[in-house]
Amino acid sequence: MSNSTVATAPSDTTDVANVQRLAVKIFLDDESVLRPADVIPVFHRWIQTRAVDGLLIDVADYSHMATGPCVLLAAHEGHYVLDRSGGRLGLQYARRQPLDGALPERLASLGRILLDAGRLLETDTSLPGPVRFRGNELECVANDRLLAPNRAETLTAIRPALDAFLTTLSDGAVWTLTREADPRARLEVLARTPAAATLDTIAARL
Amino acid sequence: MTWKDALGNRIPPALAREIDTYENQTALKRQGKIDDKVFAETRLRRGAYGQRYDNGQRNDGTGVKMLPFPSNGQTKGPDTVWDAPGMQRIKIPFGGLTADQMDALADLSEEYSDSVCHITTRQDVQLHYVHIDDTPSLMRRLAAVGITTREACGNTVRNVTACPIAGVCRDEPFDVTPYADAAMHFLLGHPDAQDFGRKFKVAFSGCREHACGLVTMHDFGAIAVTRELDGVEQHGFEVHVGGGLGAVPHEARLFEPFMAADEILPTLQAIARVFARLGEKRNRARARVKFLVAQLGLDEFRRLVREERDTLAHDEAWTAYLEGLPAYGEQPLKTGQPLDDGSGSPAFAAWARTNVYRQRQPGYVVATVSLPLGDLSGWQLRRLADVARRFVGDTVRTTVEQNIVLRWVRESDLPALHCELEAIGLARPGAGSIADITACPGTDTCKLGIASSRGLAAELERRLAEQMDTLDDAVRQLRIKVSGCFNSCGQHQICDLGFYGVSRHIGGHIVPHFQVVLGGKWADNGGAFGLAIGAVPSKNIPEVVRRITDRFVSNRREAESFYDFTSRVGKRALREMLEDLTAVPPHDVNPDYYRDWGDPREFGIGDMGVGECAGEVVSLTEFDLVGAESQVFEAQLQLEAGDVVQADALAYGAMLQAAKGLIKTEFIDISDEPDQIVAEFQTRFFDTEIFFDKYAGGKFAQYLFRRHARTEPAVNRDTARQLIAEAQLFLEATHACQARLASQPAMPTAAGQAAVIERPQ
Repeated sequence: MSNSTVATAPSDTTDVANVQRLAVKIFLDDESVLRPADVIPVFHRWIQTRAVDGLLIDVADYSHMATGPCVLLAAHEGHYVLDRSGGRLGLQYARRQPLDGALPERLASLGRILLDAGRLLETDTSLPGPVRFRGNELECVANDRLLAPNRAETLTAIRPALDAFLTTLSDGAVWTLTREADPRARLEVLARTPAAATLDTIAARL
Repeated sequence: MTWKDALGNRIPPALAREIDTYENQTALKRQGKIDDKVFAETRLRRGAYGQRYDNGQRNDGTGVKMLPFPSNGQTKGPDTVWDAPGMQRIKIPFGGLTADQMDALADLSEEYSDSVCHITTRQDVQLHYVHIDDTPSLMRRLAAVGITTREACGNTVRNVTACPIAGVCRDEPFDVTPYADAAMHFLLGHPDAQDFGRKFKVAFSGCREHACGLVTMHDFGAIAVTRELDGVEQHGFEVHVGGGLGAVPHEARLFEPFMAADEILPTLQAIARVFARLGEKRNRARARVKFLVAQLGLDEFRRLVREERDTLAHDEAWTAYLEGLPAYGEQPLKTGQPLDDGSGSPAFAAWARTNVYRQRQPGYVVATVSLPLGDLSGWQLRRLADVARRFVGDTVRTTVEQNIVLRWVRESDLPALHCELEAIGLARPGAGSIADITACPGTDTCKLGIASSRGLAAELERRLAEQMDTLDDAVRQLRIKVSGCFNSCGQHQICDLGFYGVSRHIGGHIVPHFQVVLGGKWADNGGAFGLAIGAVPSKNIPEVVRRITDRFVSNRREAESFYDFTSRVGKRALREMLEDLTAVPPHDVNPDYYRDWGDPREFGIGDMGVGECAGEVVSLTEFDLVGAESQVFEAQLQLEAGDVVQADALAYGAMLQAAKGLIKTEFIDISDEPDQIVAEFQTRFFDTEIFFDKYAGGKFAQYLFRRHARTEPAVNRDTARQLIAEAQLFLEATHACQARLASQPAMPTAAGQAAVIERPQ
């Protein structure tokens, strides 16, 4: 293990309830229907029409990278990202500014913002294929190594808020959580539930 | 809990104090207790830069719209909104990175930026979309792994660069790394290096012949040389001064053919003092060492520096590092071992052909991680740190070609290394080839960008990568570099095919263009600076590349370099090949020309209203601008032919004709008399600041004024060459001014203005 973890993350405290930099990602059901280049004009149009939440600033094209963000809609409060991290294409909303409420409320707010954007993409007629996101798989990220280092105890601490958020989405169904193993990574939790669901369905439950 | 609490004593005390002070200044600025300009320079000196749209407005394709940041009028500099995202530049001296530092950079990119690390053309790392409030924590986390952002920007000594293969190079007489490192530490925060009019750039190179440190484009460039003294080999440097790219490039001049190593730091200090004392302060456009050298003359500059050197009080730091030199060196992680022939897949073979350099130490190689547009994700950087730990340890460097090199790779590890790089999406072949294009951020994030350098570079990389297997060998080895504007951050002058972004006003619209730059040389430390041969619409640049490279292949004489080829064929012939590509179809025929690469927005300002009468006058202006373009190109041809007097006259004539064209928008009866043209131009466009560039102010106009004031023609090739570069910039400024005028709504013909825009029947 590298000692960089020691240098960049505090050793003994988690304060996950105060984490504000949170991100949630939903995954495309069929990645072949969406070329990143097709999303660039959509994001620009979102800026023109103020189609999604936040002060929308600009679009950045990172589709030349093999992994990571692909197309970024930069916003003051949080970025919307067509994201290819982990080799899987999806839409992420990465919050940068504080949200009101306790952690469960903040997660729900984040979810609503993301699902609104995802549903807009699903119904965008300018895109060539039928874009569909999976309603039964999400990735939640605590993007703050100070308050939420990637450890089992942090997940334990965040678990009640996460469970509340996920249970609402799935109408009570159980989710399986998988935490990223690399302790240097952010706390990244992949949540899956067996029953397929559309974005409309889970958005209605939030 | 804050990062300050968490990191505690892991940050060196001096650095901790500096960051505390910066954080306090940030708080004071928030309270309105620090002047905008002062705070701007304060944050710049810590690498916290502005970013495009931080003035709170943006053209969304339908018009300029306000970006209502919740800043309540708070600013972090003149015209710079507090909450607008900024860019954080992180100095990486000589590009040297440890695996732990890579981890830290990866973390910061994810938490404060957009999960992307960008390698710059000065071996720095840049993070974009960073909020000013996050910068103190970001700096602390860097400090905890031994990185400072101090003096990454501002009027300071910028990152000290060096050849990324120094120490393992097969040609160098000795490793320049410890000297670059010593120069960086000596100059960082040095009292004599705090009062410059502008930045100061230093580079170290291991040899003359290869690109290495690009000393010709530096304020202070040092090339490693040795000499024998009393039978003992002595290390020293061939020192060059006064180089720089920027708007008007200057090739550095030989200051001293052999400077003993122990004189490098005192000489740097003496130059810093002379530059601080005599360098321009008020006019930023002329505040680099290159202008001071040009103004004083090299001999006088040298005399002043030596005189200054002699007055300096002795400083132990000048030579303290020399004692450690015998012990200096990187320790390879593994024992060297050659690679058996025939191992590896076809993908490995293709990668190894271009991305591997055999070190002078047997059994070891340098592997280049080729980064598209200099970008890699935070996750990739962290995984690359792991790869480094497994294969090479802390012997990693960034390069000025926006790549990363792993040094001391055991040759027999190459197939395994390639596999691991493939797994993290970093095994792109073609390093240093035509498909490995350098590009500055351009309009993506830079406030000064005119056209999309990254958009063009991405498009060219995509097309060229597809053709790599069929390209002629000679073409594969060419280098393309792209800048978003004339400021040369993409180093477009020192490559085979260079491009820099400009715009043209055509039919009531603004069209993105790139100037095509030929005649530059990457070898020999950036041995020749290219010049623009003409502007081509952005969307036609891929065809420019195809035509020129095709002609190179078909007309090339045996083993002829591209530089020699362009010199032999001549710019006139090459420009003629591109003539038809300069045409722009009407907007309704092909609106794609009116958008930039990777950006669906209408380029520039959309809703223009140009009156009929003004339209006629504008077309006269355009006629003059075309004539001026021809003159400046002809000036280049005369310069190539060795007629510096004629080149000087043509460049001057081009500026006069462009100025005259602009004057015609207000005063149709302007004569051809230079005195009248300059006087009218000054009154109507300079004094009124109509000609002023938003960022450069009136500097382009000064080019005309200075040449007009000079009664004698150019006396040498350098001055003629500079005047041509200045004339080209004056033309670009005229185009921009004309576009601004045309974008204003047609004015009612009130009495005062009727005289302005009417033309005789």
